[in-house]
Amino acid sequence: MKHFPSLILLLAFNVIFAQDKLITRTAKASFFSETPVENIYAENNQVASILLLPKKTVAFNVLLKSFKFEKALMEEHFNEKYVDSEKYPAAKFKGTFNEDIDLTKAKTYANVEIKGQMIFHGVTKPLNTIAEIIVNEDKTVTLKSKFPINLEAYNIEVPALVKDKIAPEIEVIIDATYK
Amino acid sequence: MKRAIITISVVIIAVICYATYQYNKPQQDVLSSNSDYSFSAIQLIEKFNQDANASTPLFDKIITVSGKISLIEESTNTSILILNDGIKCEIKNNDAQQNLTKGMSVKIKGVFSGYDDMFNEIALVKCVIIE
Repeated sequence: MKHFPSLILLLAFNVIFAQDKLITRTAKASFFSETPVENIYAENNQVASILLLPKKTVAFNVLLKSFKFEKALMEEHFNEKYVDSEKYPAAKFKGTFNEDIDLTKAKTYANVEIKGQMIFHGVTKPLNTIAEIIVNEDKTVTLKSKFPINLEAYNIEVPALVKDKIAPEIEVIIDATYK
Repeated sequence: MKRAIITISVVIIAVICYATYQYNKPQQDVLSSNSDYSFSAIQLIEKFNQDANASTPLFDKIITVSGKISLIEESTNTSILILNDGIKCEIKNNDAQQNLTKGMSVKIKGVFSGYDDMFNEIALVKCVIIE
């Protein structure tokens, strides 16, 4: 019985920590390449992410083979010719922000600046983006962001033959809801 | 001369047909394809624990795995089922809503898409529940 108060304290701590570390396995990453010849859209609904509010960090892990395309051939080319997903299976991002996000009130934080590093196709590059972080009524948190990825910067070569089919800069959209 | 023109036309048409077929090739149908490998969830997790390069031979392979649902995470279009705390399977929501509950034993067929080292989970996409 002597340990009872400390047990309660321990439980309380657990609850606090559980709320501090927000995770999701069902974040969505999609990208769009637009050229006059062909539009290419792909999405991945299986992105893993951790949002640590007290440390103000966010991390994403995107398995490249989980991207789904409209056409099977595009998916094949994406994996085999461009991102070489057997050699580099995941794209990773880790970033920090300055905003204090209050989980107790439903609120939209519209312009959260996230600064971080992206690892993609074996190349590490700084990546800064603006995100919208929403504390929802049901206490879940949504993070949305949009940023361009320059293929050349990550050593992804587009053969001359299909250059007019693939945009040199691809727009990536992230939509994550943490529980 | 006439014959040459006909031959060339036939070849050109064949090439166009083949290219069009390739371009419009349908997505892999997991349900009707045979699986390349069959594991219990415990076996598959153990395989990855022992071998850091276990991913390589499995990429794009259709894997059947049987295990116990340890978590269900629902999202707008798809849901994630976690088997035995170590395998995550992405399934379409209409499949997910077949009265699946935590603790249930299921057999799932899906395409291996990699190892997620953020949560240490083996990832399968395009999954269908077969039992």
